[in-house]
Amino acid sequence: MSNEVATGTPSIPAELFARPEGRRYGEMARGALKLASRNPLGTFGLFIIVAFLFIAIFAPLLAPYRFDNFRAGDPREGMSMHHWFGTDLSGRDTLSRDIYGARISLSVAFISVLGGSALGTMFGIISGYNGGFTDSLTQRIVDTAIAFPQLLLLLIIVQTLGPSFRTVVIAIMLGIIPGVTRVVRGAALSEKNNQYIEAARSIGASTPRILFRHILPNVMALAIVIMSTLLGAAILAEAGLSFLGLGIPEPAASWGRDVNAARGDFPLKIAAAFFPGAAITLTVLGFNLLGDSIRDIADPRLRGSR
Amino acid sequence: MQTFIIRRLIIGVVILFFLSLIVFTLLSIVPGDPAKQRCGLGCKEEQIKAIQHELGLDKSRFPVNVTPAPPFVEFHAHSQYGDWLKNVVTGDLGESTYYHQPVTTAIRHRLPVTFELMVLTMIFTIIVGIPFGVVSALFRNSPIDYLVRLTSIFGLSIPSFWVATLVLIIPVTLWGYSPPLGRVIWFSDDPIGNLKQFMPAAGVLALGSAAGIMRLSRSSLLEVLRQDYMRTARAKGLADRSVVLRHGLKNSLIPVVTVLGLQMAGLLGGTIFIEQIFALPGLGQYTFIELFNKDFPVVESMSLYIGAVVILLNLLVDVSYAWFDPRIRYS
Repeated sequence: MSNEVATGTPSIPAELFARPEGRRYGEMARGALKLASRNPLGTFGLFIIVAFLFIAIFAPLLAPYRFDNFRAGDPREGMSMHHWFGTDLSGRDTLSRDIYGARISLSVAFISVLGGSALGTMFGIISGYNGGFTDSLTQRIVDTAIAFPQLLLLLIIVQTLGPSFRTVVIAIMLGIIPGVTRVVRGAALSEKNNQYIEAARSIGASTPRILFRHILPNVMALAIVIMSTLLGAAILAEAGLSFLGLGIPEPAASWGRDVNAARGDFPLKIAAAFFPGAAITLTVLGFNLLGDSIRDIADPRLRGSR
Repeated sequence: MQTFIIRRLIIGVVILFFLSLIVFTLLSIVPGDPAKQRCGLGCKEEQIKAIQHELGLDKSRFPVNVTPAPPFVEFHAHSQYGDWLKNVVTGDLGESTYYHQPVTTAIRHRLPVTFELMVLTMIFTIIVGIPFGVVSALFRNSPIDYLVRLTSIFGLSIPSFWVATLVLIIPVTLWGYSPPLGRVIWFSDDPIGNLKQFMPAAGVLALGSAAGIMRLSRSSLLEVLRQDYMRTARAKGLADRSVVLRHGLKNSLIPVVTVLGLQMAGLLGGTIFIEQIFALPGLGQYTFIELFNKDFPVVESMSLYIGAVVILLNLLVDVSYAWFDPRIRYS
């Protein structure tokens, strides 16, 4: 009996599995290339980001000195073969600090945007789906947060909790939540009236199940698009906070603070202010170019807006 | 229209109340005692107590407190938040312990600086942003369009504090030139000196907002040019110029005006950098210094003031829609 069953079940040759798999990877690669050639600016942005990620990850190998090495050179050296970008007022190598700065900038941006978008998306779908009192309370809080200069809010939060890596991340995260909440709520509102939600409810699905198994996947694409446009803003926010002296404290290498340090150090050196700022601009440019492309691909109707 | 404005004003007051509550809660968990900071080193316990009493720091923070032990809910006739709110309602925004000066006086002295900065920035933003955006849309996919688009995305990526720093230190190191810094030169006293002082700051501040407006007016005009009524206008024989200017441009400006209004809120934050770097004694610099000195009633009042300005600006923007688009009626 058991033999019959075994022979009766057709055995599938392994190569039949392998071939479509192989084709799919090939197609994916070709599709990615096509996507890249259609969006040269987005590809350029991605290239910048990958380059900076590489710099951030391999900073100890790439940088000639450590970011906090006070004996890298004499204080206030100019540009030379030993110190390409010169040294700062305490003798630390500017190039090394710029390289290490990528670590703080990118990690703050990724953590805060991921956390902020996740929380904002959650509040958004709950607010949009539940409606009623929850919705109006959430929306009044969002109104309040939006009716206020974001930078000032960040400054108050950081000053309240005391500057540190964690504080800066929390502050930027809190700054991100209201905007994401508002956009996702709009999407959840329109999603809620679809028939499949009614169907889910009629077979007795619980509210959390509807929220996270049915609505969440459908607003996910939108959330990813928003995230890609927020990364650049998060980097600017971190740089701005450290420029004002409320970022991650010394001796950490942060681009924003190095621009500020160059401003108050006499005799003034253009290079000391130029390179950290150029690094900020390039990174943010990379994220903005990539974000634009992602949005264009996700929703061609929005092409070139904002 | 009137009921719309009144309803919006009432909502605005509710939002401001929420705002003050949020900011006060945030500030009430700040480490460090402002009284100790004000008293300085080698201060005696009684002196700190006296200053705490003078600043009202010995009072409860909120009029209603929830306690873990009975009686669970406490009411205080005099509390920091309650008294602050009472004073604000009567028009008293408190006094700065750092400057020894009422907040209202500080606002009166510093508002003109920030106001001039904002007006110049808005002028720059409009005269640079809208024309380039329109040209870019009209000559879509031409070299000038690509140039405008690239410039605008670049403008959105540059941190204003970096440009401001370079604008100050490059001329100084290369040519020994610096704009007049330090004392404010009023426009009525010396118009040229005043502009020398304010133009670089406003130009830097306008960089990001002009880039945003460029992109927006481009995409918004492209959207309008696709509409049926544009085809109708052309079909009935109107000249191209009047089709674009009278029908296209005016309709495409609606989202642009909204964003200009929203940008004002962002600019109020941006002035913190710019006023700090260009040493302009405006409201942004004031708020930042008071926040740094932990003068919290002042920060609280300034937050309320700035929030109120933003809400009024947004209301103004919504009202101006009706002028741009007669189809919009508020009822």
